[in-house]
Amino acid sequence: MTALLTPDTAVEEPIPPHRRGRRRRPWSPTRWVVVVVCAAIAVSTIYPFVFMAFTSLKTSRDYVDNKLGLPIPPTFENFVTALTGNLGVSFVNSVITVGAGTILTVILGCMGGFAFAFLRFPFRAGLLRLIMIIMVLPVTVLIPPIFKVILDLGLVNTYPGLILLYVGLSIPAGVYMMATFFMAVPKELVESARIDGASPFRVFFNIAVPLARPAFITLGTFTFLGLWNELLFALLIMSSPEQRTLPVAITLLRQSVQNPTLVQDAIISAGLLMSAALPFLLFILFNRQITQGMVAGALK
Amino acid sequence: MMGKRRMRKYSSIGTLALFLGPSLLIIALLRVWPVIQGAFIAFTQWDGIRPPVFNGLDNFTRMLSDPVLLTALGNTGKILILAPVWIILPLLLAAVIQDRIPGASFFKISYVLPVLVSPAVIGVLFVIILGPDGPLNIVLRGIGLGALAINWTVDTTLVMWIVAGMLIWSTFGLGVLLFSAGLASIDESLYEAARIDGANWMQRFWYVTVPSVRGVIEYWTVMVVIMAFSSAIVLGYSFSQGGPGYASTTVDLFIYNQAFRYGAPGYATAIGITLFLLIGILLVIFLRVSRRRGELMFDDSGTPL
Repeated sequence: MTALLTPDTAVEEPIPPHRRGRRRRPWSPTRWVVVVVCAAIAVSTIYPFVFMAFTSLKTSRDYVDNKLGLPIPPTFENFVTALTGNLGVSFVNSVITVGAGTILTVILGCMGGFAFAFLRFPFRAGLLRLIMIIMVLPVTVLIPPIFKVILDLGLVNTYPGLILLYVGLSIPAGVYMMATFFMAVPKELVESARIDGASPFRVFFNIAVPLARPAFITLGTFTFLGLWNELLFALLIMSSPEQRTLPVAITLLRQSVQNPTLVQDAIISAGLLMSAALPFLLFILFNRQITQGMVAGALK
Repeated sequence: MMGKRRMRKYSSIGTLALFLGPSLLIIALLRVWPVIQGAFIAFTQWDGIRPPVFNGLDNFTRMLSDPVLLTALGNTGKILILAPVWIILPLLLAAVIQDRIPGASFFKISYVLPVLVSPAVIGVLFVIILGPDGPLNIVLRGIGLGALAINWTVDTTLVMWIVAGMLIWSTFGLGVLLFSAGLASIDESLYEAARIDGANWMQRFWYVTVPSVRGVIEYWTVMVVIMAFSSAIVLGYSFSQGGPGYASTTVDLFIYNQAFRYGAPGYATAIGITLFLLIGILLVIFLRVSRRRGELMFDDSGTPL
């Protein structure tokens, strides 16, 4: 690997005038090898999803006859089957619980972040640090005691139960991200309002909320992605078939097939695509914000 | 009381309760209380239905002599063995992408695709792809490697490595994003100087890139260790249900199955709490040693809101 990644630097091309900044490297064979390796890895991350999309657009027969081929002519019968079956209901359940969880996280996260940046209270720095630690520590090893809370509240098999849990999963990151965002806001913006004797509510609604609009998109998309993909708690809290979320329905659909025949593969692929399409679409629309949300914390 | 005209030190309780109350309450209820209650449950026998009954150290002695737990820890260990690849691969990829190879931004986006999708989707998708007559085996047979076309999902020796590979495959893109963000802030003149000194690519990588993104490497290493203990669960659940046997049951999936499949949530909680506290201690030590966090810029001038 090391030898492959060592391009020959003895010959340096002059920088073409139309290229700013970084210089262009010479076209050594090692450079080509690097590009080929990168491309091979890219194929490994793209092709499974292409295969998934193609399979979902084939009839079961087409799929069995030619698994790797193009879906010509494409058919949407798998999506019809999936949507009229349980997967349609599950899609709606996912939208409801994840949507509500995301909106609550953004609202409460904005309020909490505002408090850390602009209000003053004892143990503020320590508390924010604790929230950061809670944000990073894993949840999956604590599923039994966390589930017990929802159980004790009598919220199993209810939408509020899963929504509350989802807010619990994402609110530490919500508060932390909004707090760091508000702390970076120039103080002068708040100071003048403060001198005018504005109440915290005025400052919040007239200054903080309008300022935070880009942060809402970052936090919102980031939270939505995380919750949309959640499986384990949804599996426990929404156990009846008509309450299942999409990841639960897909997983159970695959597992319910004792003798996996190829017939189901096309329908399952349609379900997988229904789950994967929304994150992909969000990433196309909010590429920069999602990237920001993902790298937040690493560079602090 | 120090005098009437003293400046208020803190914001009013009402304001604080309104802005901070809801989020702190939810964090306390769902993130802090489970740890506290879990620490008590760890010393009880609890079947999930009747109230927990104190049983001393029974759960912990059971842990020490549980062969399946040992298998599960060994499976998580297999993921940890691959951690160097998991850490270095994204750094190398980010470094070559930063060098403006052709198609750099396309590569970056394509590496992120698996990060965006649910691990449940990835697990189920790979059941199809690695199936006995799935696309992988079709390709292998097509290029004359039919001997390699085995039934991937039921091979006891391979299945854990496949789950570990899926975990790395579905998260390395996040590492590429982190390192790319870190690399973007390196001063180009450092590379210029290294180049003038005659440093080749590898030397520049080792003496300029790596020290410049040390903080990100540390952060990603912590993330990798945490993910190794806590993120294989969904892949394992949806791909192979931890099987065949316990061949792909990682420690996080073991906890889940003990609690909800084998009816021993008390025992499961004991393992979970132990693991959680170990990871927590490691994280706090890391934060202490790296000393790059906590310099939060609070501005406390003027009267509080």
